[in-house]
Amino acid sequence: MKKIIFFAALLIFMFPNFCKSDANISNKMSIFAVHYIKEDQDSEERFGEARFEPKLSYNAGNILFFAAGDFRIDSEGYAYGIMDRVTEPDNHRWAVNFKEAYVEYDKDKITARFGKQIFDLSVTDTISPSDNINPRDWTDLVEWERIGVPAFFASYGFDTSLEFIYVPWFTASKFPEDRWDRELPEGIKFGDQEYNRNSGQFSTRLKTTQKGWDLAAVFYKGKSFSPSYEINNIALEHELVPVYRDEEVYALSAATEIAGFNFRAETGYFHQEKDDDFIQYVGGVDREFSISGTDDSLYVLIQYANEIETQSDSPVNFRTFDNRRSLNNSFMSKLKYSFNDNLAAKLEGSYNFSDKDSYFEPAVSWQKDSWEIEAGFGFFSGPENSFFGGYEKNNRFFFKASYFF
Amino acid sequence: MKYIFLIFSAILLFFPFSSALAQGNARNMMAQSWENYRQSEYEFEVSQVLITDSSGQVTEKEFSRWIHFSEDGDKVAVVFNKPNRQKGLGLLTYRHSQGKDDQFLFMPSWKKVRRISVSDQGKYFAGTDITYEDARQLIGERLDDFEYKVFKSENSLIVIEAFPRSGADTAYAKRDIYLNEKFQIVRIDYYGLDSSGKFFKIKEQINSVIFTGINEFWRVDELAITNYLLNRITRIKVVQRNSKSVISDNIFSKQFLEKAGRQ
Repeated sequence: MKKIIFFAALLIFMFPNFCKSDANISNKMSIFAVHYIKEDQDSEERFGEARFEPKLSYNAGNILFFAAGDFRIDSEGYAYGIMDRVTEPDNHRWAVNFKEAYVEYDKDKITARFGKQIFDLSVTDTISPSDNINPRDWTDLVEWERIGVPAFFASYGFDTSLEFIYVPWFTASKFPEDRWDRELPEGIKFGDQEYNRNSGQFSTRLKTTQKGWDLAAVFYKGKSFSPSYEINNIALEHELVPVYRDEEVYALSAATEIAGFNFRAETGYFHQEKDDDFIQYVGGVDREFSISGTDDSLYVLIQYANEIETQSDSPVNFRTFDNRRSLNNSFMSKLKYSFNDNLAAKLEGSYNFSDKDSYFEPAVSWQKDSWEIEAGFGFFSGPENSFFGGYEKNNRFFFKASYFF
Repeated sequence: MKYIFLIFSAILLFFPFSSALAQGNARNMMAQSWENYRQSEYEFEVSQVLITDSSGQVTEKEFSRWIHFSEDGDKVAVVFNKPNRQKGLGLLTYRHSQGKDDQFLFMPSWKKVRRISVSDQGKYFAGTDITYEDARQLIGERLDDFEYKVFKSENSLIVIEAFPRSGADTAYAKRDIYLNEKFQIVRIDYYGLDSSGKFFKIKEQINSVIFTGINEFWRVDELAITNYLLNRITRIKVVQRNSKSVISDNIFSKQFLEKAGRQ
C-alpha cells in the first residue's frame, strides 16, 4: 500500500511537469486473441486479452523520469491484482503493473539509472548467452516477454563503453499456464517455485565498435532466469520443484556487415551450481533485399544455435526443459516480405535437428498511421517428448491489433 | 590545307583536355556546392514529412535530425516523432571518410540498437521516397565515388551528370544535378539501377535559405520528391533548425538512439 501511495504521489508531482514541452506521453492499446485448433479437455479453446500500455517520460536537464505502465485483462484470469511491491512475487501476471519505472541521469559519458528496468544485452535473435538479467514471462511460451526488475545501471562511454548492472532482489520467471504446462511422468507433479528473493545479481559488459565490428564481452553472476529442478518426496507423491541456481556466465558477442550481409554471433560459458555446465554458441546472418526496385523488400534471417556440455549434472533422471537451451542444435529462420510500407507476409520458424521437432508461424501484418494488425497461425510438431512436439495440441490461429496514440 | 590540318589537329588534341577540363569543372562545382553547404559544424532540424500516395491519401510523419559535420567523418542521428506507431524509430549513421559507413537502427518494438547493412542503398526509408542513400547524401556525397560531367545549361542552371564509379555503393545509374549560380543544388533527377537506368524520380528544392555570418551556407527549407515509379510524392519541410549550438557527442551514440526510442 505504501508503494502505491509513493508512486501516486510521484505521478501527482510529475503530472503538472508533463504538461511542459519536455514531457512525453505515448500510449498503446492492444488486443490479442487466440483460437486453438485442437480441443483440450482441461483448457479453453479460445483466449483473449486486452492491454493498455501508457508511457510517460519527463526530461529535466540531465535527469529523465520514465514510467511504462501495464494494464491487462484476459479471458483466463492469468492477470489479476495490483503489483504494489518492489519485486514481482508469485507466479501470475498482474492486472495493474509497471513494466518499467526509473530515473536516469546523463552527463557526458556517464549514465546512471535506478528503478525497474528491462535489459536486452542480446546481439542474436531469441537465444543469447549474453542476456541473463531479466526473468521471463512464459505464461504463453510463444509470446514470451522479459519482466522488469529493480536494478541499478551505470555506464561510462559511448561507442566504447563499460556497463554495470546490479539487481539487489531476485524475481522469478513466470511459468507456462494451462495448455502450456508440460506433462510429467506418472506420480510426479509440479511444485511451487523455490527461490531466495534476497539474492542479488550482477552483470558487466564491455563493448566497442571498431572498424565496422561491434564487439562485446559480458560477465554475469547470479541466478539463472530459467530454473533447474529438484524432486521433493511428499508422502506417496513426488514434486518437481523449480529452483533457481547460482551461475556464472562468461559471454562474447560480435556483429558486422560483410558484402551487404549482417553477421551476428554470440558464445557463452555457463557454470551452474548443481546443474550442467555448458558452452552455448549461436550465429546468424540477415539481410534486407530490395526485390523489384519499388517499395517492396524481403528480410531474411538464418540462425543456428547449439551447445557443448562440459559437465553433466542433471538434477533429475528424466527430461526437463531449460528454456535457455530448448533450441540446441536448432536452425531458426525469419522471412518477411514487405509489399510496401503497409503490408507484409511473414514466416518464422525453428527446427531442431536432434529431436526433429519444429515450430512454424506464418502470418500477415498490416500497418498504417497509428494501427498495427497481424494475423497468423502457429504450428508445433515433433515427438511428444520433444520441446515443440509436446505442444502440438496448441496449434493455433492468432490475431493481434495495436493502436498507438 | 595545312592550316585546316593544323586546326583540326589542335581540336583533336584539345578535345580530351576539354573533356577533362569539363569533368574537372563539374567536380569542382560539386565540391564547391558541398563546401558551401557544410560550413556549420553542428546542426539540429525538425522536419515534417507529407507522403501522398497514388490514391491521393496523405500520410504525415515527423523526424528530428542531428548532424555533426567533420572531415574525419560525419555523424547523423535521425529519430521519428510521428506517427505514434513509429515514434522512437531511430537511425544512426557514421559516415567515414574512408571505407564503409556504419549504420544502426532502433525499432520501437526492440529494446536494442542493431547494426544494419549499408549496402542496400536503394531501399526506401520509413515509407518515404528517400532511400538510405538519399538520406546519407542529404548532407554530402563522396565525390571520389562519382564521375561528374557538365551536361548542359538550363534556365541559368548548370546540369551536372553524376555517374557512379566502379565499386561505388549506389542505387542510381545516374543523377542529373542542377546547380544555381550560388552552387546550391536545386534539383536532382534520378535514374535507377533497378529500372534499367531509366529516369524515375525528381528531388526539387521548393524553398531555401542562405545563412550569413562568419561562414555563409545554404539550407533547403522545403523539398519535394516525386517518384514516378511509385506514383508518389514526398514533401519534407524543415520546421525547426539550429545551426549554432554545439551538439553533445552522446547524441551520436547508440545509447541515445535507445533512450530516444524507449520514450
